[in-house]
Amino acid sequence: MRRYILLVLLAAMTLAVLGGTGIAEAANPLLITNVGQGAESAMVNVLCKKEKIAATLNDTITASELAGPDGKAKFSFMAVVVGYSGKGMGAAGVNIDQELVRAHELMKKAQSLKLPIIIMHIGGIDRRGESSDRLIKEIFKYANYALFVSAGNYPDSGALDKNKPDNLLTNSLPKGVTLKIVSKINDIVAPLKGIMGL
Amino acid sequence: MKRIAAVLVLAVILAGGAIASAAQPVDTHTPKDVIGKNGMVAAAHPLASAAGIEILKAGGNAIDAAIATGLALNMVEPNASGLGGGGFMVIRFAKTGEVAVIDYREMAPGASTKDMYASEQSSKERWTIEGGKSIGIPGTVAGYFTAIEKFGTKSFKELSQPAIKLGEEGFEVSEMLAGIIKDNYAKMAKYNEPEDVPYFDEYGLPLEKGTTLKNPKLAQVFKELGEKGPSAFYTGWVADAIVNSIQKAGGIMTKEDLTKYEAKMRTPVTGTYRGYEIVSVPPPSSGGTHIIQMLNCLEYYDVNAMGHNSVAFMHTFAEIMKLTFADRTAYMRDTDFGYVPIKGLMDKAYAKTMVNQISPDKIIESPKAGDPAKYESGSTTSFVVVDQEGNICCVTQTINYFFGSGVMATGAGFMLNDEMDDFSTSPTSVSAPEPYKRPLSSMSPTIVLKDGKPFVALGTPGATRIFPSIVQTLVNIIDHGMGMDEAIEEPRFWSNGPSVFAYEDRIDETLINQIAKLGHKPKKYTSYDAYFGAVQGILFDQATGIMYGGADSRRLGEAIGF
Repeated sequence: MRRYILLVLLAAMTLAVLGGTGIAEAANPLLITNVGQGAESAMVNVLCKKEKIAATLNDTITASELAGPDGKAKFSFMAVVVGYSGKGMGAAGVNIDQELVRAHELMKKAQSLKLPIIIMHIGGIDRRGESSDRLIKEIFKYANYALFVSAGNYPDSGALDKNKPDNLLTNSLPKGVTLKIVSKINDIVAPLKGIMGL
Repeated sequence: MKRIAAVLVLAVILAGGAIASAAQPVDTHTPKDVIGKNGMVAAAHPLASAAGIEILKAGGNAIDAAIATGLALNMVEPNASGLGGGGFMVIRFAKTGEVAVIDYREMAPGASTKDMYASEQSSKERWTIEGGKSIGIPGTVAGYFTAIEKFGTKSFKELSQPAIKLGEEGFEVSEMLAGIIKDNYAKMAKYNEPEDVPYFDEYGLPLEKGTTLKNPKLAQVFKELGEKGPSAFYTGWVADAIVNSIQKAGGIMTKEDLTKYEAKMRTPVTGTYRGYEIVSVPPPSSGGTHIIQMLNCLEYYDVNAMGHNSVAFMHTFAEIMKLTFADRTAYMRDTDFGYVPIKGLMDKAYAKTMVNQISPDKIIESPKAGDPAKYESGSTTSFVVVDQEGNICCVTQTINYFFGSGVMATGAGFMLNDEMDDFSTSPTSVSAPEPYKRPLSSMSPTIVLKDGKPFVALGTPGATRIFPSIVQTLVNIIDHGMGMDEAIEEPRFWSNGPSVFAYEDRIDETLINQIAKLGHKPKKYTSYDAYFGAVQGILFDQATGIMYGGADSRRLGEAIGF
C-alpha cells in the first residue's frame, strides 16, 4: 500500500514538473514540427504567435537537432502535427518512408531527452486516408499528450463509412495519455496552454 | 451533334427573349456550351465573367471587358493572377483583321545574375519559388494601361468598378479556393503578418468554404490606379509596399527596378494546321511557337483515323511533345537577350525531321533538340472576350505558382509572383536570369482563323502543360469535330521526356498499359486535374454568327454570353 502511495506521489510530481509553470517559461518552450507535411503546423504556429506562446516552427527537424551542446533538450515541449499532404511532402522533397524514418528517430530521441510529446491531429477528415492513417498508426504511440479536432476521427477511406467515426485517432493512442478533443482548430490554444502550464 | 443541339437551345432561348445560356448540366464536368450572339466572356470564375459582361453591356469593347475580367479575377481567383504578376494579351480587331500582342511578362530585377540560383542553398531554401528572391518585376498594371491607352474605350476607373465592388462587399469562398488557400497556407503565413492576408480569418487561419472573402485594401489600390494611373503602382506608396515586402522576405528588387518596367508590343507568331490559321504569342513565351510546331508535326498524321486518345495517338503526340520540349530547353528565351530560331521551329519541313524520328512501336529514349536554324529563312489563368463588333481579346496571365511567392505587398492586398522560377537555375543556360530579362513562359492565348475569319479563341493556365493542352483541345475540335466545351472536358495527357507520361485517370487503363509497353512511364492524375490546365475558349460559327463558349471544370470556369 505504502509502495502504491509512493508511486502515485512520484507520478504526480512528474506531471507537475512536465506540466508545471516553470518549464514553459524556458527560452524555447515549444517546438512545433510536422509528420506528413500538412499545412496545420503553420496554423499552430500562427495561433501561438497570436497568443504570445513562444514557439519554434521546424517542419523537418531531425533527431540530431533536438539537443543542445550540453546534451539537454533545447525545448520544453514538442508539438507534433500529424497529417499527410502530397503537396507538402513534394515541397519537402521526401516520400512517406523517409518521413517515417525521420519521425521515428525524432520521437525516440525526444523520449530519451524526456521531452514531452504533444501529438496533434487538427486537419480533420482532410488528413485522413491511406497515407495519413499510416502516419497516425505509427506515430501516435509516442504521445504524452494529444490534441485532436473531432472531425479527424471520421475516416476518409473508401472501405469505411465516412459518416461514422472509426475513432482511429483515439484508438491509436497509448493508454493514459491526456487527450483533449476540440471542434475547431483555434480551440486548441486553451488546452495547449494548459499542457504547457501557461 | 453537339453544335446542332446548341443551336436548338439557342433558338428556344432567343424565342423567349432571354439571355442565351444552355441548360444546366448534371454536374460541372458535363460539357456545356454557353451560347451568345452579341458578346461573350469565358473566364476561370463566374464572377469574373460577369464583370466582363457588365462592361460589354455598358458599351465597352473586348479589350475593356478583358481588363475588367482580369481585375475581378485578382479578387475572386487571387491564387492565380493579379497586379503582382504578368501575362500576355492577344487582340484581334474585327474591322482590319490585324492582331496585336501585348507582352506584360515580368522582368528580372536589375541585380539578377546568371548564377543567382545555382547554389545548393538556393535549392534547399527554394529561392526560385518562394520568398523575396523568387519575385520578378510585375507587369500587369503596365500591360492593362497599355491596352487601355492603345485600344480601350473606357477608363481604368470605369473598368475597375466591378472588381472594387467584389473587394468591398466580398464573395463566398468556394470549396476549391478554400482548398488552395489551405494548401498554400504555410508560405503565406511564413512571409506575412496574418492580419495582412485577406485569405485568413480573424484567428489567422485559412478561410473556410462558405465564408466571405473581402479585400478592401486591393479595392483601394484599384481606386488609386483609377485616379493616378500606373504611377500609383510603379512609383507611389504601392511601390514602397512592394519593395519593402520583397526585401523583408530576402529579395533584391529596388524601387528603381519598378520604374524600369515596360509592357511591350510584340508581333504574333502565325502558322497553319489543315487550312486553319493559328495566331499566338511569340517569345518570351515559348507557347505559341510550340503550338504551331506540334500542329505541324500532327499534320503529317491522319489524326482522325488514329482515333481520339487512342494508343497510337497518345504515343505519337507524347513523342512530339518530348522532341518539342528538347527544343524548348535548347533555344527558347527572351528574344531581347538572344537569338531564337522561331521561324525554323515553326517550319513544316523542320516538323518532318521531328516526325521522322518517331517510331510507332517504341519511345525515343533520349530526345534531343533538332537544328531548326537550317530551316530559318528569315499556375495562371486564362480568359477570352468577344464584343458585339467581333473584336477578340484573349489573355493568359499569372503569378506563377498558386499564391506566387507567398509574399504580399503589405497593405496593398495582392500577392507577388514567383516568376523567377521560370528562369533556368543553370548559369550556362540560354534561359539563365539576367538583369531585366523576361523569364521564359509557356502562356499562349491563341486565335484560330478559318478563311480569314475567327474560328476559335482559347487559352489555358498549366505551366508547361499549357501548349500541349491547347493542341489537344484544337485537335479535338478540328480533327474530331467536337464542340467547344466537349473538347475542353476531354481527358488530357502530357509528356516532356522519357521519364513521365502524365494522364487523367479517365483514360482507359488498358490503353495506358499498352502505352507503358511502348516504353512510356505512366503517372496517373485525378479525373479532372488542374495539373493539365483549365482551358477557356470561344468557338465561332461564322454561318450563323453564334458563339459557343466553353470553360473548364478543372477549375471554376464559366462562360457567359448574351
